[in-house]
Amino acid sequence: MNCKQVQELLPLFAGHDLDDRSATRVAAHVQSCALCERSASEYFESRQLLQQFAPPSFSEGVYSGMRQRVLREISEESLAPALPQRIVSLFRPNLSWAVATAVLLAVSGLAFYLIATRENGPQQVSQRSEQPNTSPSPKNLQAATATNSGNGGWVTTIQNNAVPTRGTAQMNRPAQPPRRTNSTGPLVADVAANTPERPSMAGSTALPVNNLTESNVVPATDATGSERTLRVDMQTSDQNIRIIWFTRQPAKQGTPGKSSKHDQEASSRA
Amino acid sequence: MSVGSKQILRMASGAPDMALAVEIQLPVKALSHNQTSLARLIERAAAGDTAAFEQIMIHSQQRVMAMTWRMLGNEADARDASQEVFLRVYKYLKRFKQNQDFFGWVYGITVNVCRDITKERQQHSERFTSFDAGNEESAFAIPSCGEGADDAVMHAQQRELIARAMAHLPVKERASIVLRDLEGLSTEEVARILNSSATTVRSQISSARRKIKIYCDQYLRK
Repeated sequence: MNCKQVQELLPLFAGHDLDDRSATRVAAHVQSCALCERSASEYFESRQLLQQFAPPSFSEGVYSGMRQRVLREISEESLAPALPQRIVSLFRPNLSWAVATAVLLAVSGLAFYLIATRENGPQQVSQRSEQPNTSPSPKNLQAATATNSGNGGWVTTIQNNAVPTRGTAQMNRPAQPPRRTNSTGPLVADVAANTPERPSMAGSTALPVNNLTESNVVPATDATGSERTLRVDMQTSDQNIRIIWFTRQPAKQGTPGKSSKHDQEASSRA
Repeated sequence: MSVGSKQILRMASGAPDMALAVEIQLPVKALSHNQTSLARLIERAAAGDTAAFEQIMIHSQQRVMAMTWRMLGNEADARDASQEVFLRVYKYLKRFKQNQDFFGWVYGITVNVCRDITKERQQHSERFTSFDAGNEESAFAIPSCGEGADDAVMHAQQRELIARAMAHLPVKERASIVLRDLEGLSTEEVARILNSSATTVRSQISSARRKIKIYCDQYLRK
């Protein structure tokens, strides 16, 4: 054991905090090394000085005064618990609170599940209607109209930002057929098509409808149920122009081309 | 014969009708008796008996005051700290387990209180000790005259030197060396009180002793 190692161990050696083996080795080195022996004696001396760090003898008055203050504070606290302590106690871990919280979470989860399953009805309709034909064709629209009108009144809304229609006769052509599901009420299909072109109301070209969004299928508000109404909303690229087409059909009529009445409404710029 | 004592009878030589009886109090049994009474006091105090708690304070007030004085360095802070210690002892007495060492538990609370007070004091940029010359409450007031005044002066200077050396120690090292070297606890007991390991406590003690020696070397051996 060299001097450096001994110097590291001398503080513990002076306080008898070394194990027997280390203490023996340090003691052997200290006996043979004058420098380390002097250091060891200084440690012993400072440790003896430390023993003088004793408190004065406090009078009984000091102790009794302290006890009285402690007892007074205890009695005051026991008589009137402070408001902050009451508030803090509310947030302490408590089994009853834990149980109540667990029950509340369970009820909330159940309620959320029930609400979510109730709202899944229309979403299921939209998911099913998204299946093969996302890009509509006029033929599909006709078929859809026929299907819908034959089953109790579908109302289809088409929102088109750029409707290059030339006249009103073609406006009943393109639409995506929302498929009938097990839902019994009448539905509204909101079909939006966005094309960058500016609408042109003149001409006789077919109505291109892109990007059908059938997720907006909602039950229609056909109160009587005697007639089926088809409504096609077309939003042109100009936000101020919106084309709404209504088709009222008899109950047993098959195709929208044979509808009894066609209404067109174009709102001009506001 | 009472429990915890041993009676020794010896016949006086030459006088068969005389005998000498010596009754020796056994310290182990006596300690057990004290522990039992202390445990009862703790139970009663935990149940709200303030008279029992006052007895507990009387049992432990000297240790607590000595510890706080050694940690904080002056009587005023030691009084305030001891008061806070006993308030916390009463507050948490229900958490005390009977198989624990009560005074070790109280020492732990004392160290925590002293650490809090030291932090507050550091935040207010106050000095650790109050060993100023003009301080009337200085614990190391030097006697001005009288028999053995020189020895008393030297003694007081040495104590003040140690006090200043202690004041320069970090709180953890101060607590370790006070408990180990001044309160006489073992390293393992100190580690238990400070919620630390024995190796850590040994390291803290070693560092503290080295710093105290260096401080003393600067003033005593220059």
